[in-house]
Amino acid sequence: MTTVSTRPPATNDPDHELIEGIRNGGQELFSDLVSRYQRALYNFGMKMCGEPGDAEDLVQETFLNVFKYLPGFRQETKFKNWLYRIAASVCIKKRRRSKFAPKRELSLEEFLPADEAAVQTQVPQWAAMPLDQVLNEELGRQLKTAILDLPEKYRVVLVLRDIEGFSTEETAQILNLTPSNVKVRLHRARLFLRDRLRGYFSDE
Amino acid sequence: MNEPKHLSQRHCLEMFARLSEYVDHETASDVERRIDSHLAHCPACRVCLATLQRTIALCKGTDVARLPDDVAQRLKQMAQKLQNQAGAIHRGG
Ligand SMILES: [Zn+2]
Repeated sequence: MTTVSTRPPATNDPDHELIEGIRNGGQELFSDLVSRYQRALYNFGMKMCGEPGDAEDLVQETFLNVFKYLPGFRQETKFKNWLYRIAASVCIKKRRRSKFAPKRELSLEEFLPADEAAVQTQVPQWAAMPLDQVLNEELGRQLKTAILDLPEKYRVVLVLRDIEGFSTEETAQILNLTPSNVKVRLHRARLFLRDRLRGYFSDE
Repeated sequence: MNEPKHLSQRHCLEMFARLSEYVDHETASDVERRIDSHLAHCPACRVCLATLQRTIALCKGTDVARLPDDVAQRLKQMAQKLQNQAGAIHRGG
């Protein structure tokens, strides 16, 4: 399922100069690279693992790998995409050893209404109210937990697409999936979260 | 199969499977038009769409984890250590 096509060098890469600088012997620039991406990667780690210690490990290991493999980085993709590719693989390796990543497939059918009575014809409050009136700390916590409960292969797609803001194409490149695979996983992940939100609001 | 009336309709099911693509404007234009016209007269699918859109908006609205100062400090040390090692190798030829 390799989709990495031969692309021209990503000349519009905002990191191009910095990367070239480091590769041409400017090792002292490496800390600039770290400070440029440490916040984003830490957030990615927190969304993926949920634990500060694991998130820190993820950032550390990712940068160690970046340092090691940077000389071989052929700027065919944006540096940021390559960085997340490393981060995602570090993360997946970690979680394989962990006990609580539920490994299962999500099917479309499980998110269909169970019966006629479950079919809603009116937009519920939580989807109708202004967004800032819905999003509060408690909901934020619920949502983070729900994201962590997603099986990993769905979680990583959701985090990259809906939290980190990568496009379908970029996510496909980062995870070495086809774009249609990314779309399928994203849709199921979103439906999973929608059900969790529905459950949360029905208890109110 | 005893499916609910609205979802037993072919269009509702097609709609349900493609809702994310539709929200992301990644459907082919003919499919998009078909979905548009279906939505215009199917309240159940409109609810489906609204709740999905809200779910996405809530995900996008989750707060960014703040990088703790001590973590930033350790990362800085790590970067410096790597730089120094590499510098030593360079200098050593
Ligand atoms: Zn419908």
